[in-house]
Amino acid sequence: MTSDRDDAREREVARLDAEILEAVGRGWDDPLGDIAFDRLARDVFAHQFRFNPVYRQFCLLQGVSAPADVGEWRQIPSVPTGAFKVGRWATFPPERDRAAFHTSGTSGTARGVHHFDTLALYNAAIVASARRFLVPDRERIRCLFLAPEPRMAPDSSLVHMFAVFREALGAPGTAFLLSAEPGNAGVRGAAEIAAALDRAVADREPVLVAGPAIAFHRVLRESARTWGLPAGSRAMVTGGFKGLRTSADPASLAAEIAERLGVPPELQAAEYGMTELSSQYYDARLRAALGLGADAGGGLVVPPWARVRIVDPAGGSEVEEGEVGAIVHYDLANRGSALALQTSDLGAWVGPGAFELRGREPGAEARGCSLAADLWLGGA
Amino acid sequence: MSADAAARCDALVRAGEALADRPVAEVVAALAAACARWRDPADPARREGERALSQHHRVPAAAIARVLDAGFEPWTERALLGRADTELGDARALDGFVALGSVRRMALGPRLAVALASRGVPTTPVGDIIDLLSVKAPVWLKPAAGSDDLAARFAATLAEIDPAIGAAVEVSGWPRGAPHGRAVLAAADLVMATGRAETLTGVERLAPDGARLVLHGPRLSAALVTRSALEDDFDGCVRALADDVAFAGQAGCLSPVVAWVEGGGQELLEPLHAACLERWPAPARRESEPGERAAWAEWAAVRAVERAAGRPVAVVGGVDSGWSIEWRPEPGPPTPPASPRILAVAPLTDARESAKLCARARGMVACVGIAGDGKEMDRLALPLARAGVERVTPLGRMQRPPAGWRRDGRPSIADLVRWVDREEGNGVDREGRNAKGPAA
Repeated sequence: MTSDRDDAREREVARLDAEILEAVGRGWDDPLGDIAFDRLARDVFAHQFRFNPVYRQFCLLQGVSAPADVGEWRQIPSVPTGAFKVGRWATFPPERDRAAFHTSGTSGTARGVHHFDTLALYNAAIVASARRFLVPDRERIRCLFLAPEPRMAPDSSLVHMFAVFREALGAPGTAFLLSAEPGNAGVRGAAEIAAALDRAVADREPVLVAGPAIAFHRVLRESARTWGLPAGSRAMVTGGFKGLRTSADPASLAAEIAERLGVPPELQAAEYGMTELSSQYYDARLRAALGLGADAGGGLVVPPWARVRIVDPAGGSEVEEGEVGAIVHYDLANRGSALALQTSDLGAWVGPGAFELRGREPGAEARGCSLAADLWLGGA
Repeated sequence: MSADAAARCDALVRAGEALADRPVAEVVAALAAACARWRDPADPARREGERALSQHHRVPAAAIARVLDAGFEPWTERALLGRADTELGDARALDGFVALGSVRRMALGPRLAVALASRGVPTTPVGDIIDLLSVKAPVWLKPAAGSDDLAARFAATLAEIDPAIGAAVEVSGWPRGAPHGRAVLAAADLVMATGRAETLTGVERLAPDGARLVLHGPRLSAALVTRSALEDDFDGCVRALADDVAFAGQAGCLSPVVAWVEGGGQELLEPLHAACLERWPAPARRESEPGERAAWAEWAAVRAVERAAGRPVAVVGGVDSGWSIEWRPEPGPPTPPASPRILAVAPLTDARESAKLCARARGMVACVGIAGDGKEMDRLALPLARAGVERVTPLGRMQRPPAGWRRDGRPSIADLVRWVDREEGNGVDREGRNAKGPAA
């Protein structure tokens, strides 16, 4: 039996999701304009204000006592990523949960949980961005994921993203190549990866090799072999090394991927995402290399259904282009959790709608895709 | 290797060879004399150092003076020789073979040591130099990028006091990944490094085969205020806690990141915040580096979320302060703060719960400082030791470890030497056969 309030929420969810899905579906061809984004963002904010009592209280503490107090999307109170560790951060009750992804964490740190009452928005955002920035030139591609099978890592948002890649973009031969068991990954992973790369070479079939930076680094370190992957092969690298036992600078890793796998740096796309978000950011170098557009100055491109502010963390005012500040995300696809998300990740605008990460703060807690991979690979 | 780096390494090795012929007591006396100058507030080098470090750390010279006083306090001639006697059995083993138990034995320091320092307490890299020279090892110390220059200043003082010992110290750095640095590392037979896990993994990879590695990874500390101590002397507890927390801006592994207070602790927040600001008046958060500002802002926002969720957390010290003291209703193990100069205060029902909390961070807890009487120290020391804590000391003394402090639970100088045993005999037994001797 549902209450009137539940019914009202469900009706609102249906309306918002339809509009957000439409915005995501329009993608870059007919991108959501600022006015439309603002209206939809404030609708989502009002929904979250109404159905997440902790967020409502948080807004009250920030001086926002009603959705009408927010004149535009930039004024929506942003939630720190750490809120996902404080307690359940969702606009729907637990019985509506359809999925939950956990943030990475070492044994001494708490892990946040991102709950979803539907994966429709998340999956749509994943596919739209991957289609544009990873596989804009073909219908499907053989994907080799440096990650465990989804059933082995059901709470990993990165693995879920790869599972969506497999469904939407994967050609026959697509495979997950790591074990989820720490300590076993090296041996099994190295052999399976070598075999999968050998098959790609033998079949003359281009591949997308995708995974966290640390997984590329470890995999390449564990084998001395080199492969000349077929023309059209590409890589997607995500995450960094901060807080991990292993480190390598991105330029050396890119050079190593080029030398050892035969994927030139211009076909290695960088991805930035986090469990607390439903949308991802990619650089446009791969598109540029394929002759499908400019490379956005090497920056990460904000998708049309999202916005980013780079702010002075202490005061909240926006920084000038080129200045370093903290990244605040406004992601419509986060309808069920937090539209406005404050992070301690640092970045700077490098062009219109494109920003660059400037590293995380010293002493920052290790987190993110690479930490998860470090755990799969027996580290941390 | 660049010609310059090669020449400098050769010069250091030669200086080390010259040190080998000098009595350890002489070397230690020079080290102690240099430390004595840095303890003397009227010494020109110290005064200039206070001024420079004050600018670097953006705090008044008085705050730096407290760090120098405490940092150089333990390094007296008696303490350094005593440490060598304790750790090696006899300090003179560094000069030649001495009888140690049933054998004659000598201890040799490395031919060339490279010490990679981290940012933190200014006197920590000085301690690396002192440890290595105490075993007559020439040392190339690479300061951390962006760190202050106290180590270089101390080396200059040492060179004034004893040029030959000064010649065995180089304090200079190189850009990350520079061939120059790789060459210096390759010349070392001992590499000492302090830093984060990924830094130390990188050092392990770069160190030459066969080189001894002395690695100091991340550590955290905690303070424990017992009910009786708080009732007996509230102000004294605040002072002692602030002395330990605020030392060098909470930059070192011996600064508590959490204070467990038996029976409460909320009443400590305001006075503790004031006392920390007084001891280390760090610039307000809004003036800090973007990374620190961002980390702090996110931390502060999470506290706001917790309050919104009805948790009774309290924070003193916002964006206009350089310090933040938070009270949390549930005690947790020591964990790295999101940003520098954050202390968590949490209640304990019974001080003995501290051991369980430390056990949850086993291998990471450098020190627990206890405000309590001798009986309480006795009651708590053993369970804390068994929980993996490496040092238990009275609150207010956490930042003043003795010269013989077993950092990371290991000896300071015994890890730096190689032992040579000399057994007696003429190599031929009485019947003229080759001596076989008893099996070892």
